[in-house]
Amino acid sequence: MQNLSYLYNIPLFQPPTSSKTIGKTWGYYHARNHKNNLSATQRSIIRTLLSATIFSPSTIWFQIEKDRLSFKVLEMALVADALQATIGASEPWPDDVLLFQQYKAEQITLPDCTQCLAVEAFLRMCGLRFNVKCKTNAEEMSPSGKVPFIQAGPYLVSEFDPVVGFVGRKGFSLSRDMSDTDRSEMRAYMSMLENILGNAELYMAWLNPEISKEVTKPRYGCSYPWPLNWVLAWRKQRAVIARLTANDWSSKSVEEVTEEVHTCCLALSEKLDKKKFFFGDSPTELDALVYGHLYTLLTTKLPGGPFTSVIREFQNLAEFCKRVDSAYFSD
Amino acid sequence: MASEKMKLEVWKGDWGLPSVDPHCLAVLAYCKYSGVPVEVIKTGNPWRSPTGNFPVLRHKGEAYCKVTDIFSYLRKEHWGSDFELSTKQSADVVAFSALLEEKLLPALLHLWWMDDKTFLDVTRPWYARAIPFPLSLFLPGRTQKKAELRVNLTKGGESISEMETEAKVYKEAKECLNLLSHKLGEKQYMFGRLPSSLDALVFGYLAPLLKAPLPNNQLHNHLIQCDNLCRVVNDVLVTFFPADLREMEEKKKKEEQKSKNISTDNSEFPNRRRNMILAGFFALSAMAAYAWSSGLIQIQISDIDPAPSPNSRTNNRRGPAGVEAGVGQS
Amino acid sequence: MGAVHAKAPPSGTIRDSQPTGIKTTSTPVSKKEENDVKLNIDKLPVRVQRIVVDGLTRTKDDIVIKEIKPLLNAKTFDELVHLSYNAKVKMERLGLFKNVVIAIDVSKDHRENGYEVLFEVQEFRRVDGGIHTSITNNDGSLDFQVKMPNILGRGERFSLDYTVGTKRTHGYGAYFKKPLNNNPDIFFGTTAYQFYGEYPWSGYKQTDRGLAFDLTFPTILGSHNIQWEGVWRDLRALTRDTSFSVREQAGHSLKSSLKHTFTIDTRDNLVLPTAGMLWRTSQEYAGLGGNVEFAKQDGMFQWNTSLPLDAIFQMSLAGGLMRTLDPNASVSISDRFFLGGPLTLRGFNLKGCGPHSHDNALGAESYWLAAAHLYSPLPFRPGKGRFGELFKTHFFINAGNLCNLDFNNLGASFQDFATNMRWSYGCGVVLCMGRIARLELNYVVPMRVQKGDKANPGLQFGIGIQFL
Repeated sequence: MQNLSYLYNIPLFQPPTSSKTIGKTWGYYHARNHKNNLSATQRSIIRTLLSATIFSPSTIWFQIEKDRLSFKVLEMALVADALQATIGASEPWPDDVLLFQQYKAEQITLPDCTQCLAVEAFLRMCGLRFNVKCKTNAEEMSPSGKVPFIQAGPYLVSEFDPVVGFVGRKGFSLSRDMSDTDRSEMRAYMSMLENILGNAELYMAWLNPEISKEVTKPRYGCSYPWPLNWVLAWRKQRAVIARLTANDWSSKSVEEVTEEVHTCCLALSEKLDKKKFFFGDSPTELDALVYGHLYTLLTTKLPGGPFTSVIREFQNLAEFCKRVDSAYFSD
Repeated sequence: MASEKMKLEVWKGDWGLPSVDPHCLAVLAYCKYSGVPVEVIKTGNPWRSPTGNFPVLRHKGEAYCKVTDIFSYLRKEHWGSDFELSTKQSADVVAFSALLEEKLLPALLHLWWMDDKTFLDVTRPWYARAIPFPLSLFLPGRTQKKAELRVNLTKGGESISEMETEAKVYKEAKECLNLLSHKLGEKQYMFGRLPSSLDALVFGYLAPLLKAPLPNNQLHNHLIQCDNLCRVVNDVLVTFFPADLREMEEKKKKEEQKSKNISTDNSEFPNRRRNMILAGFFALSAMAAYAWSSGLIQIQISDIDPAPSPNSRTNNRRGPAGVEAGVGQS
Repeated sequence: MGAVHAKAPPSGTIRDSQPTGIKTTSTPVSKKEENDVKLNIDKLPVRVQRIVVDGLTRTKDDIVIKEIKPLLNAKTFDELVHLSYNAKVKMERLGLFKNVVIAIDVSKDHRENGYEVLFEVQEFRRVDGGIHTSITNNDGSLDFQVKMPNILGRGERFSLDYTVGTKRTHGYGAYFKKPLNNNPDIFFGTTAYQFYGEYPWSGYKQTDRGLAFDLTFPTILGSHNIQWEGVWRDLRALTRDTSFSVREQAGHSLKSSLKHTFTIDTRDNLVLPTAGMLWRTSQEYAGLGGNVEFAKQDGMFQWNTSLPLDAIFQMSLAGGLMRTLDPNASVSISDRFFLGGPLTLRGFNLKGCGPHSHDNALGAESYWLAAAHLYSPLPFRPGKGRFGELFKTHFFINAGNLCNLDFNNLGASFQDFATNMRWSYGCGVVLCMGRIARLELNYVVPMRVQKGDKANPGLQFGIGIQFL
């Protein structure tokens, strides 16, 4: 790690202004090193620097000498989701933001659809301008290999969490005014959605023999000529099976999966209760994610209709979906 | 019916912990919290386990291996610590359990099995010592493979490098620790004064992180900054597992004594020299054997020229029919 | 040939201007009294009684019989020698034998004018393997090959290859080739391959998995090759910095194309010819199934002539044009033309001409390229006749252009094509490597550079098999 590091020296009292000063660097900002003995100016420099990196705790090492503040940025984290989103993130939200995904009517598969809808709902809840662009090769274009991704100026950001982080850097956030406890609960419920509903959707779409044969695989391969259509669908199915085997989902029976979904919905229903949104009167990231998952599951017609009946048991969740739909997707 | 006692097989403990495995610890803690009359067997031999791993709970001829299965079975048998919770709190238990599995577990798997230094210095030696001989050869490797698959397939991808996956996994784990710390606040347990199954899981994940002597300690460093989480783990250890703490202290004393003995005792040196000479001799003979054998297996690429064979037939017929391709047999 | 003085005793050997590889073990001297006989070998009547081919194990008889049959018609000794030599050459071309030795002898039963011919052949080993290095344009690779020449006994050749390149490229393939009608010039080939390549100048990587069948046959004008190829291509962005215009084309495509190549090659050397010309044109039509549809025409012409003082003048012209046949899609980056590099349009970076997007070359749908070289031996001719012959100095002028034609306004496009050209000149040293590759070190002065081009003035080093 140390070998990859760069040492930057910047004269004190002159905050780095241009994005070039920072270059393509990401990392951990070591919290303990900077707390003590910093002047207000130094702190402001550090804050400026940090605002240029998308994930706040990133690798920047500070060192104060006589008149210089040197800091070292470890070029390491470049996490798939951090991408090129760091520099210049303080620029305003551009006009020509595009959300890339596959074609909804013919191509997209259930698990991908939930993710795309969640990101779209999140951007709409933030009130940001963007256009949805459908491409048959959206999955291969995406920097992380997963849909959806947004293109904002020169930056490409894929998947839900990184998009939330990127939008947050631009000054838009749905969870800014929440208490720490609420926010940690929100993150926990979001993890639950990913962990239970996300895996259950993959399981149903790709492992259920009937659904995968009749719906998922034909849809996944629809934009390719024979024989690519079945080769690619088969490869994708193998990848999903490997993934679900790795986290012990493939060995579950349909009943067990349905039971898991039921538990998840029960927890969501309890959390939502009679409120308008999960945390009061305004939406949060969790609302976007829940909407993405449940709305897709409720409206997608699959042979056997596995989860629809489970979700319909919870009246408040179905109403919640309708509410979000009419409030944010009415155009 | 109830006369038959439940049997719980878990991995052996070390470093003052009743077990080294997060899942075993979680089950142990859950049993302690709810006072399940369970017979704990600390072992290192997963020969009889259906999955080759622990924990395994055996009762009435059935074996339960997954933590969630064990919890729900105990709950069914009316041994639970979650009955006091409101429905809302139960929902939180589900959510935070998922959070732990989604965000913290990959980092722990990475730390124990995929970080080369930890794996070579701590994990493999520990399991090699704990597991009896023939199994110890391949079980750690198998578990490592499983852990690698889990982390890479759920967190990585073909367009994401290993470094990026690693950074992502640890970042998420640290975030998860922060979230847990916020959730806990100043309370004694997650939901007040009584421990729940969530507390059992949290204890299971955090205790080894806090106590095990791991060389790659960025998560450990982060954890000790979350004071309230450390406090809970230590409290649980002191309250529910005092025996293991005592054991460790005794062991420590013994080791200190031993090290004192060693520092004064030079009698081990001749042995060491002999070992070195033996090792050197072995290496030399192996090299010699290799040289000898490679000289033997020298590949000889010599073309055997098919000499005009003596029995190539002669034929005196004339005309086109007389053309003959004499076949030299070689 | 001609008259030969044959000396008694009759077992004396004749060494004439016969083609090499023939040993005449005894002379057909008639029993004449005088010691000195003037003998006209040309007209010596001959009756071939027996032909023996020795050393055949796997090779089928019919393919050899076909080649040696004409010998039976030999009437004179001269004819016999000629026909034997031809048969030897033909047999060697079959790709079955390491070498062929001819022995002509009087027949054993001492009939009048009776001869027998012995062909001693040595077949290739059943399975042969090898590791060798090969050079493609500015990239070296290591090839592992297992080949089975003559797998079925009639010159069928089967080979398995594995290639690892320097730029993380790797691939493997199987190739099968069968001569048709026992004629080594007409053959049918089929290949299946997988190849992973990285193309940093355009910022993408691609995995190709394909299957191809081709037929090669000569005509009086030149050689034709007709190939059908079906290839599944998986294109991905190479890095996170890859330009969006390239990233947009990521994904899977299936190309099914028919390609015809016509070649006339009369050059005396592939790398540094001193005379002769090369004409090669190819037409490709993609769209027989699959989701890639385009038509492509490519051609090149090279002409060499020797000048006084061992100098050689070479002139080359190349050009290509393609057009998408799918109104909804443009031609993929992996099918497009690129221009520039140390062996083609010198003075520019590899693929450094034409449209770029964030440092990634996008290629174009048409190009032309012209080059004139004046080669001369090294000054003071060091190593003359030996390694010195591998080196040449040269002066050159390159010109070329690469752009997308607007088919609705061809006139203006063509004018653009001619006026917006790039050109450069310079001199340098050329080294011929292994008969197919060439290495150049040049000092180049780019004279006209267009916006977006990556020029490389000054010293430029190139190595490769494609050059102009």
